[in-house]
Amino acid sequence: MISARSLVLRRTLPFLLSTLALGLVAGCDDENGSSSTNSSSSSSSSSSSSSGSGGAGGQDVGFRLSGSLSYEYVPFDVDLEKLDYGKIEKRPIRGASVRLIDADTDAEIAKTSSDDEGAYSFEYMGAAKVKLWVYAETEVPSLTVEDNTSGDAVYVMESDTADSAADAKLDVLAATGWDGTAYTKTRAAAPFAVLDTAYISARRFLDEVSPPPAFPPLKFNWSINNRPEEGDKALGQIGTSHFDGEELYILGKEDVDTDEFDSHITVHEWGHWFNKTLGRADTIGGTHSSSDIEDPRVAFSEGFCTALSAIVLDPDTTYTDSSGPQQASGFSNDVEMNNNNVEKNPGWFSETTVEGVVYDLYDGPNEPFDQVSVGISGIYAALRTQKDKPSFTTIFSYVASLKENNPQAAADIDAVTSFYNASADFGVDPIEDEWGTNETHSGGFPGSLPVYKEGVVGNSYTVDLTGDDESNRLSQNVYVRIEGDGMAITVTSTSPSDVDLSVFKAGVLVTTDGNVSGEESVTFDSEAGTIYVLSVRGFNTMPVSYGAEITISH
Amino acid sequence: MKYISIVGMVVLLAAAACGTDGARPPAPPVSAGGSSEAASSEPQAAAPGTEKAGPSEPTAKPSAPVNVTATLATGAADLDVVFGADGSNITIEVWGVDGLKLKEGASPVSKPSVRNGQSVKVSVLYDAPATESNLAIRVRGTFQGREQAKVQSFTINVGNQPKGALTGESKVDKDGRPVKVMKSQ
Repeated sequence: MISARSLVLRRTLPFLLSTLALGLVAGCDDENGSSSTNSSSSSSSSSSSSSGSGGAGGQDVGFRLSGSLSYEYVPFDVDLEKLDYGKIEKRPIRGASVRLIDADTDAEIAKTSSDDEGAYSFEYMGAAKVKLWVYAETEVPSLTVEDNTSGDAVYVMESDTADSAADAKLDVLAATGWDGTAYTKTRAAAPFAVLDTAYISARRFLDEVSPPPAFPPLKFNWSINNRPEEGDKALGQIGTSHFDGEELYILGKEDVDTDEFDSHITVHEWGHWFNKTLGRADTIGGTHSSSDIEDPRVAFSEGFCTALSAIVLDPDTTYTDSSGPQQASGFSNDVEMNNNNVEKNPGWFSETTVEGVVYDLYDGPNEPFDQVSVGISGIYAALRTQKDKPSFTTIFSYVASLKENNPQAAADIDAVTSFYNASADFGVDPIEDEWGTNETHSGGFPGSLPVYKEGVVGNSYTVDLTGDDESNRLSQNVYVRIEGDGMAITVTSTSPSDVDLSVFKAGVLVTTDGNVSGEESVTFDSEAGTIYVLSVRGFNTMPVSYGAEITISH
Repeated sequence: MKYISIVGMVVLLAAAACGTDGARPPAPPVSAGGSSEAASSEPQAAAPGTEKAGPSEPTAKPSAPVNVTATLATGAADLDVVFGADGSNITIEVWGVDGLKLKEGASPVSKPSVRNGQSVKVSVLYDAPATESNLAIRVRGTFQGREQAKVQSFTINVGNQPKGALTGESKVDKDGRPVKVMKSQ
């Protein structure tokens, strides 16, 4: 457990930083609240610089423009459970694309990127007056924040105009637009808050993992219209903050639910993309809550991503989510506060258990049961090892990968997972392999054990399922392991309820039958010696037991 | 006052997890206005042709295990909150956004505890402007020992959004890309 002392520091430090930051902002602003003109700059000497020429009407003498870029960040008050606009922090806009524009002609003169202090500089000739366009976009890694309700336009912050000079200063601030009771001005800070959170996340891995991951481009969609309603994403009806398999969508609807300053949510959803892109994500997605008894693919994915939010934002391990009028409500949960109470349904099917396990594997040996610390590189290495496993991406394949990479720490890793043993039905046994062999905790559903049933060609099996409103629960999913023999294999099901059959090879879908009935059939050409995993997924919405007869044949 | 849909009444089935776009698992076979507790407990196959989830659905941020169904009519909404897990210290709040004013039903509904499958109904009356506005609901509580919340909204007069100055100016940059230009402050 973490100490009360560190909690106090965690809650006090943001205040101290914000107090300092507000002082800096006040020092930069002019009478109109603008931060753009000739302020004393706090630019880093390592600022990014670029040169260019252009603009009509100027003189052919060398000009220099430099300064710092920043945005306002609104912290979450974990005691009052709301966004705290009284403690706004000023944070640097890091790694962003910056373009120097001739203020008279709107022609682009040069471009550069801000450094990790938010500093930039240009050396140029010609234009008498200039301004900056700061893109909500970084190049390394390639991240872009767009407005999905406005033709996917990239957010750009435009500075005030500055007179060219031998050494002009121009600081630019993306403000929240908050006037004390509502957002009454452009919410320029929001897209940069989303961008910076994603940038921080990626940089943790780029800076601390060797060799660094190769991040492909990623787009975030944020809009003041993005609200928790299903419908047309172009109208802002995005459902909730989520990863749709390609891009991320973040809520922004004032007085309903905004997530741009709920950094852990942004990292959580970024984590889904990270997991899919650099690891492997077998999750079937869908609705989930911290106490659900979930399909272990869902539990691993959601738990890993919440743990990742605490890892990336360490030492801020408290997941927060603000909402409501004036963003004055919300809730928070500290990922580091482990709880193995049986009422939380701990186990290999619990995202809360997964998040606790993964975070404790990452952090220092700071609890009696947590004497292991693999760091961010160890967390990433296990993800890469897990990627190639024939089993699904669950806590079993992840921890098995971690043990494979850190055999000397196997006993300590077992101690972390065993902490969650709460009863005969709820917990995790020491993980022997990626298949969950000898796991004894059923989550209250005996049909869930063994975790992977052994399927042999020529045999029939009855799998036991239990209905639920959601089909991504443990009770609605059964796995069968089938070894290929070089011949075509057919799997059929017969059930009074709707079930789906899907066959995977190392997480890649080979074939599926998802017709709306209990009679399904799939056939695939198997490779001799290759392990395939059959997923039987039920859709009965009533809380009753039902079966599916599975036949495997040539 | 005009109806929100052409038919005059539309049932908006709000997806519980908010993040699912497109196909959904079949809805529980409950009668209109009924609760899942009253429904048959026999195994049910989904009706032919019903859409359902594919091998995977989009991810979504964690939220309280709650499903909200809204039946919207002119100036009125009947909200059916169905819980997907046992919970305690439950608070249900409904409020209007973008000019929508609640005339009745604005007081939060509190429940010391709820059971998995329990339905709680909340009815509200409201005045909505001619332009787009939103009815929002938040369900908050403690589920299996952890505090969680779920927010959903329902748009009134969708697509009739007033033009505001808060979104920035649409332009095209040197590379031909659409950009949304926001003034620094």
